[in-house]
Amino acid sequence: MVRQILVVDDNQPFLNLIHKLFTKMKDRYTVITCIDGAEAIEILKQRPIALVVTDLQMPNMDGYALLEKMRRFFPDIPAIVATSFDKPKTREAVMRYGATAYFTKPLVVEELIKTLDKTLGDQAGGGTLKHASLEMFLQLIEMEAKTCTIRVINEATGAQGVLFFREGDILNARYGGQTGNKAAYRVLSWERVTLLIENACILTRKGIQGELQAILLDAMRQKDEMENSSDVSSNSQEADTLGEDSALPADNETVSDLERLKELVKSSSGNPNSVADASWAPELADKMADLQMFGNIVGAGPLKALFSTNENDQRVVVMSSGPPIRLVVGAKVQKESLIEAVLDL
Amino acid sequence: MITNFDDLFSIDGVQGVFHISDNGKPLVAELSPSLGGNDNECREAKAFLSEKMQWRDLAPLVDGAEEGEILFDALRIYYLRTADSIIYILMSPQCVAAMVRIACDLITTEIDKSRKTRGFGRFFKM
Repeated sequence: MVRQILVVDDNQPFLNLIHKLFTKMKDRYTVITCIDGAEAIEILKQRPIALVVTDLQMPNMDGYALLEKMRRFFPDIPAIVATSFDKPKTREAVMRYGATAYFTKPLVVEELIKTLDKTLGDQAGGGTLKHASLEMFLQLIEMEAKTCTIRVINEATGAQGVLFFREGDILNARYGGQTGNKAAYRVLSWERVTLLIENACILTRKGIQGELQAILLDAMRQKDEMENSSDVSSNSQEADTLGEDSALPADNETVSDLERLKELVKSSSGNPNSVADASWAPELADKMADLQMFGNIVGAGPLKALFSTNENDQRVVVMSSGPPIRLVVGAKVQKESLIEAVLDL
Repeated sequence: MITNFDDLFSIDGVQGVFHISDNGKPLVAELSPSLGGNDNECREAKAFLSEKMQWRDLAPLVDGAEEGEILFDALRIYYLRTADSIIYILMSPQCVAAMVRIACDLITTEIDKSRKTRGFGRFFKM
């Protein structure tokens, strides 16, 4: 099976070398490249990426922000960091952010390939099952109270989804950028699948409603409704092929990220009037990147935020998660609440 | 001009001090070994701040606020603007920021006082 690897780096010559390297392994890996974290997130939503190799210092969204987003929204996809910075504190911070491995440039190619092979091998450490009946297999997982991560590949379309189990309980599902029940219904509606079984589950909290049986029933019901609907004539018309839609709908795309951030800050501070203003500040991205560069030099780890107080005694905060966000909040809002709110975004 | 930053380093958790003038001249640059700091890293950090993080570079990020904090995962940086320079104090996450601020107040008073002794003040009591 050919696995897709995403390499994220703003250095084009490095990406060209990566393409050359992976041409020699095209029976095992296909490589996709991009120049920053924001582009990487879009690719992760649309393509069945098995693993990410990322630089740290990049424009628009740096490697730290990408690792954060991956940990929250794509926890099943391992990330390897390849960077020029060799500081103990940077390495420590990166591993705490969930990276699988940390390499300094110039890369030793054999070590990178060895790590790729091992990491992706572990994803099928519990076995690979072709032409499987997903429903029956999952019921077995539940009966045996297994803890595992199951990567499900639709044999008809090549689409991929992930199911997370802990002690037989389904914790969550992911399909592209979707998680939760909607993602589970999509994946569980597939008929002929190949399963890659990993004997571990990175999630510990339930992010899906209901037990497996109820979810299976709901998935079948929804599938029947879709098939009976006049808009859908066959499986081939389902938007299951990744990339067919311009963007995969998330479970709650009606509220902008800024509005969500405001609500998160209000909720964590316990004060509905705590946010005076919230806005994107892309013009600050370059300066934030410079600050991060300084942080890399002194081994400070990822840049989180800048805090200052304006003449109205309000706290002005510039957060560095992805494109910079500028918040003006009441002086009493705790810094920790702000950081937590951005991580939840 | 003699400005004593020793008091800052006596505060538990202070790990570095950089004092950069508005024309990019590094006036003070010290980095604690606890940050993995050696001469090379200190030089690199000093050069970077002098070139890329003078006051004119930081001001847009903080709406011109003359003091504030920059939060990293493993480090905090308290910055303070003086009349013609900026001071960056690198602190561990556990460092008591209030003590650093008090020490900085004394330092900036000293800096401002030494500035007043230029010009006529050198010759006449003001």
